[in-house]
Amino acid sequence: MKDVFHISRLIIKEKLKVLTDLEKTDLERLNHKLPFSDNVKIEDLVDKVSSYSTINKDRAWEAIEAKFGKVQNKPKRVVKLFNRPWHKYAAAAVFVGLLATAYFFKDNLLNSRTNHVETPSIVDTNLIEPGTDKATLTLANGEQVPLEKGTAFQTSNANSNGEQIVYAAGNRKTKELTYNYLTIPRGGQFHIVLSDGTEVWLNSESQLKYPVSFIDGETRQVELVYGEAYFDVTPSSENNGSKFIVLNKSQEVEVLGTEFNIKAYRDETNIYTTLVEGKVIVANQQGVTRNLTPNYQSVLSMETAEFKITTVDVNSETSWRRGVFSFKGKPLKDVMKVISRWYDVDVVFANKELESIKFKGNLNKDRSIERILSLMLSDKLKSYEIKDKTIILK
Amino acid sequence: MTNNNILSKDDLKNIFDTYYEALVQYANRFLTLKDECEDLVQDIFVGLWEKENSFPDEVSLKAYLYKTTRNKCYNVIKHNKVKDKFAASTVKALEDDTLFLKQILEEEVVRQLYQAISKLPERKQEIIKLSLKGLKNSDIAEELEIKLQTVKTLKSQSYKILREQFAEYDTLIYFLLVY
Repeated sequence: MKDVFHISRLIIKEKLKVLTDLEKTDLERLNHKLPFSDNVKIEDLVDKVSSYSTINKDRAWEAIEAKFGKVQNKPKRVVKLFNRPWHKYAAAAVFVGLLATAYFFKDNLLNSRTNHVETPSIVDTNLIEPGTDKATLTLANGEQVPLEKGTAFQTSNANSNGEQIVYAAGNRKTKELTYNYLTIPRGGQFHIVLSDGTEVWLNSESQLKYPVSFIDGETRQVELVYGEAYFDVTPSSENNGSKFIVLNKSQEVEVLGTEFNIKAYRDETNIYTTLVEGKVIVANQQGVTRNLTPNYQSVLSMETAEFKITTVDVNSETSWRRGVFSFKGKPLKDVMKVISRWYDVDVVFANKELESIKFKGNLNKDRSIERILSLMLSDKLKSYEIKDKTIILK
Repeated sequence: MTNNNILSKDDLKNIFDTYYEALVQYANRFLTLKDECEDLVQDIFVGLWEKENSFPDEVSLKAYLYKTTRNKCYNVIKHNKVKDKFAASTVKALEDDTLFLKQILEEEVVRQLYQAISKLPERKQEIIKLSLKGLKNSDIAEELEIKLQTVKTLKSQSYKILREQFAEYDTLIYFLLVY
């Protein structure tokens, strides 16, 4: 049934020509799964739209209220709870009720935006924008080049259109490595193709150090100085057997051609390495190694230098690269860390207890900050205030 | 404990505003009397209010509403004294699960189109409906007796508004409190 609801939306979006690539694939898959959907054509359904307006809804709602009134006035059954402190049950029942209401309501808010929360006070929001493609390229001679959408830049071995930078397959006979840095500010993201064809997506507030071209036959080595990056590494077999290593001050990841995500932010105490495909070996400074298989994540604590391996939802962990932030039951503190990097804002919790309330959900990265914050309001997070580039959660 | 409804009146009104027409139209596929359909769907809402129903998400709520409507229609027809040929074929249609899904799909497409279109001014509604039916601009101009240029302008404005509404939905993907 869920598929039916999903495809109903896609059919309309197809007609309106607003399908994203991802949705196109989805639509094809669902068309195949639900063969009858091929016969559902908007042209044939338009007349039904008109018949909706013939229904008198006000009258219907009045009828429902009247019917409900009758039901309510019936004498209530008295239920006795023997030998039990009844108030415990009552309290529990009320609590469950509250939870369910909040839960349901939050979801329903998506369609009709009735507000049962305080109206947020917005002082000045013009300053806060979602992030964009941007980076600073630091060349071997120390020169710094701003890369931004709309501005092209070219060197002898690299080419950027302002949204990504591509290094030429270039000279494999290089004997000496020369390094460039790509630095992504808060509120930025960037895509880079290294000279061996390896692709790296860099998230906000990240820095990657990499050679302009790799030396043939030698280990390919790059450094995620800090921040978050998604790697799609070209296999060793295509690079004369050269393996690929991603360094960080606390960790080393050895790969043989694969896709994975590393998150190593300076203001976090863990390094997260998530394997999407293939195989990698993670190592800490003491040389302790762990093998990762797909759908597993290693969490390296910088305090204890110990690894913890857990299964994760890979899609959710790496969705930032596709324009969506996805959270699976993350505390608000962590959610806001991600948001603060992308919108380049500071976040203040007026009440420390808010930090630990958990959220799950997906957020499109191109939405306004107000849109996102308003989705998060509930009986717990009651309101927010925006002052310049600071968000205060109350 | 006086309040054992999980849904507040506001919640229920939201659900009603979103799904009432669609459920009535769906029921109307099987029951010819519109009043009977409305009555039946109203009872579902009363039940929703009364009972301690809770739904983890909107999908389960929606599924519940359509399924309940289907069951109620089934009961009405089964209990009808008149066993005519029409009733027999209707029962058969109601028992067909694939048909059920197809009908829900149609109803959901109509419902979402209706909600988006009904936000437009009347003239634009007329134009967009004709355009969605596949009529050319010149045919629309003729049908509505307005200038071709007006059709073009209003049509492109209307499509823009519709597109925004459907693109916007993705953002709202969802964001829930977890307990």
